[in-house]
Amino acid sequence: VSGLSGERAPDYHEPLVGWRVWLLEEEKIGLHLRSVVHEIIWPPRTELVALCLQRSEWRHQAHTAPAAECECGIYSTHDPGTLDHYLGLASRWRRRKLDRVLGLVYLWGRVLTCERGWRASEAYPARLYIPVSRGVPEAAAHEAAHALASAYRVPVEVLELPRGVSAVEALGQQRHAA
Amino acid sequence: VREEVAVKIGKPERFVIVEPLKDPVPREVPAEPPEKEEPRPREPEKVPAR
Repeated sequence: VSGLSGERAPDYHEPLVGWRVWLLEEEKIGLHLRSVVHEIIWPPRTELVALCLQRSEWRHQAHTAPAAECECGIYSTHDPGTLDHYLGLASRWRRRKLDRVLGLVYLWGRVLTCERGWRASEAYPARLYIPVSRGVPEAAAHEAAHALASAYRVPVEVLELPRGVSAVEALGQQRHAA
Repeated sequence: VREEVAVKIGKPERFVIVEPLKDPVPREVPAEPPEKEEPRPREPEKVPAR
């Protein structure tokens, strides 16, 4: 991994676009996106900025996130096929049926390119999909989509899941059809 | 703000610097204060013709 000390010319003038999973979190001021692993709310209308809070000993030294030697940074993957694991995690941890969101995320700033994704210093959602299983009232899903679209000002789609079809498969079918 | 391992993305390879020319964030546009209406010039009083 090449180091990044000091200023250098930008490599890209367009944000990178990756895939990730969020949780839906009802806050006092409305519906928000939350990170799956940590209680980090993604703020609407402003970028999420990575800050390393790792607690193991050598990582106590302050550093700019992301650092190659650490695990910090805002994660995203190249391939939506790898998101099933995290959609499953989200379901196990949360009981509600309407609680997971997957989608595209813009990444910029200092970005660490990895084998199957990125770790970035700054990010903002680009397009969101709310997977809806059978039995969940359609109106609730559309209401959530409307609330997210209003808060983040990004396109939000409801992804209806036929029986036996995962969110990632449904997303693939929808994108193929488009 | 901290974001930790959320997806298995493999080993780090290299850093890149990404500086979008266009802001990727649809930011809140501060509302402009309402413009003050300038007083309209008074119309001359109409005097009935004699």
